[in-house]
Amino acid sequence: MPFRLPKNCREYFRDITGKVDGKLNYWFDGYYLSFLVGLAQTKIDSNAEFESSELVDEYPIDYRKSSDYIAALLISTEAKRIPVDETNADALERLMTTLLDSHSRTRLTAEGENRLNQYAARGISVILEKMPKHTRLDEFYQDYFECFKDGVFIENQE
Amino acid sequence: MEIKILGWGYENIRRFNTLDLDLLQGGTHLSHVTLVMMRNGTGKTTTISLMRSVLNGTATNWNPEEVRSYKPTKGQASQGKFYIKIKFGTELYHYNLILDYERGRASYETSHVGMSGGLEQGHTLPMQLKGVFTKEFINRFIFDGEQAKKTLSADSKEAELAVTYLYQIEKLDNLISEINSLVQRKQSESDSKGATSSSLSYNRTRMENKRNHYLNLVTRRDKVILQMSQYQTRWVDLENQRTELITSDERLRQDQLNLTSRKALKNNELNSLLQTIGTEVKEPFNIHSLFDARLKSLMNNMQTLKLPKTTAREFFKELSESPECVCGRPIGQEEKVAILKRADNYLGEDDLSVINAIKDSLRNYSTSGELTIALEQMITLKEEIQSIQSALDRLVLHLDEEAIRKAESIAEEQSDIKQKILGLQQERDILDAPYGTPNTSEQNNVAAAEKAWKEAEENLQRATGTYEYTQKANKLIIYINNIRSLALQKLKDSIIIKTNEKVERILTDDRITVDKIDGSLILHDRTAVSEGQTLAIAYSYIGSLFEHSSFEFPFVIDSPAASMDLGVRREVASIIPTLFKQLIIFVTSGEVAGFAEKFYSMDDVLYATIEGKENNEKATCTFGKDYFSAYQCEEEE
Repeated sequence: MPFRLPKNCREYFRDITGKVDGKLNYWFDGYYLSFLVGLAQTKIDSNAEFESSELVDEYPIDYRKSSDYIAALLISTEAKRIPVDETNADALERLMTTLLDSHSRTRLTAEGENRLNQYAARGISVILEKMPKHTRLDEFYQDYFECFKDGVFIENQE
Repeated sequence: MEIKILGWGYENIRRFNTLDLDLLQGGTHLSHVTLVMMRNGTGKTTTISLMRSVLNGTATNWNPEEVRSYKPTKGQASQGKFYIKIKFGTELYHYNLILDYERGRASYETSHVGMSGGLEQGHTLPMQLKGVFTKEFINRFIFDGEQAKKTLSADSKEAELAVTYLYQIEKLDNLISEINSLVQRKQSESDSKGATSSSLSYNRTRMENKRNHYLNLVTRRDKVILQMSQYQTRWVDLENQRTELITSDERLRQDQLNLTSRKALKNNELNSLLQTIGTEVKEPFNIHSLFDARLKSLMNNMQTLKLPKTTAREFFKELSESPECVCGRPIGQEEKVAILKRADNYLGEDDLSVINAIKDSLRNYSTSGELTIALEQMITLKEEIQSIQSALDRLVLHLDEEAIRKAESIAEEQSDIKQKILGLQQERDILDAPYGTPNTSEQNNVAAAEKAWKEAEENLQRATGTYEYTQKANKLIIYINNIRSLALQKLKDSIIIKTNEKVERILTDDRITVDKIDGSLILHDRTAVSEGQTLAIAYSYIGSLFEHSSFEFPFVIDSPAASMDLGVRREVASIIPTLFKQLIIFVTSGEVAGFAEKFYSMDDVLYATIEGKENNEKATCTFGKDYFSAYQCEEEE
């Protein structure tokens, strides 16, 4: 299961994505910004609809260094969501076996990638609810980080 | 199969009058490259057009005006002829395109060695080429430099179309059309399964209404996009007019220049900041303390719990094969099954290295305030840009009365346009929104309208008893589309590899690669290349298109270097002979400088100079490099 864009994602990020200065370079950027919100929410959308064609089956080159953080955040957030006792070695290790795969290009199992897709789906629906659509990337960033700073994106305050 | 053009000729065709070009020159050797010099207006385009027509067999569809357009302007010729001699493998074919100027009709004659009866009416191709030599296909090996450039133009789908037609993928599209026709025929012929005629009529009308409504929304969407583009163009035009008002005032011009220059600088700084933010964002621990806390918590737990454990899944799998456990107890079948089942709860050896890598990353990262700083700087910059813009806007206040009035009128229109664009954007967003988006319905949303149409279509199919038939047809169409996509993608991938190999050999000074074919050729990490590079890539692509083909085609190019500068022409001249087995290049003297010179040092090049004459005299063709180069020099003088 590669990464897939939730159905509302492309439309939302359309005006601020493109291979020009002042825009996001990849559709994966929109996907990433969405799943961060989903992770912050500690919620997935398990009934989400996704685009039928895969987005990518590996991280774009700019994201290769972030793959460890993404995997770790996924494990940590899933531990909270399911929940899994993070102080129990067996339980935590079992969780890791379901999400990690050394042979995969993303180092995630199909289930791990699917879960990330579901976090992205949750994230974009929150973004749609809380933020207007933007045509300028600077305005989007300003709004997006304000939402994080003000706790708008964070479901369970920790 | 090798395909070679051996020559062609004209009788009573425009300025040519009568002329024969035998590329074999009475012998048996056919040159690799034939350079044909013709002045502008002599008939290069005519020749290309006639070559295409004589090979694709479509001239019989011409209307009388088209046929008569080839008639010489002087004299009373009632008939004209264009012929071509072409070799398909070992078989020699001769095609005549007969143009009856009196009746305004075109017809063909074909003869080939081995054909009994000599010249036969009609256009006959070798069996292997029937269905291949279509108009679209032939346009891909008889073409001009402008067409080559389209392969890289974002506005054109030339690159993708070339693959589609050359490998006859469009035949799958034709198959889909056939299937749809069969379904429609079945629906109109079919007896209903218990439905009354009024209910059938109702369902049919309903389906048609829904379909029309969907198509109207699609048309409306296209119109909205076009209108937005037109308004945006008008807005820019007005902005230019406004700027012109200011710059035409000497006092204000310098201020305007300074402010514009400062604004541009600030915008560059803003773009740079956006890139910095984009980089920082990729470290999620910088975005919010929540992420930092989770990562640290996971790290601490992994440390405390000593994860990953040193015992891996493989250890348990090996243990299950042993007769005894590490504790000394015997391992029977029951114990073996239990051990193997539980082994999957443990990480494999490879996974251990992944976890250790993650642990390492978590151990070594540290948060920074760069993102926060960059965001603050961005806000400040935006305020500065706004302030500069306000200063620019205030410049108009220093103009004379009439200029101020004009500026106000411009501002009013711009404000009006901005509102209209906003309205159109909102309408477009609703039209384009994915199905199920709040505040959309089949009345205002394309996806919803399409769904409603499909549902109505399904109801009609059930009413006409063709539901199953249609479902099967739809399934077949899906399979054909999948085959089409897969075949096209595989072809594209293969052609891209070949193209990049050629480009790498040719463009040694610059690393340019083709990433994919999506309508046009999409280059990796490049938005612009020079004209010479464009043509180099285009010809490498075209040369690669035919590599898989079982046919070797001749290439006929009109003005391959067109209006290029000398350096570019030399680059193109050195490239294209390496890409094609037989090349026929039409040039004018004005376009040849820098291009033909490259060929003078090459072997196996035939030079032909065609000169059209006035007053109904025959055009002449002179072979030979000396005449060719002297003609070019004379023209330059």
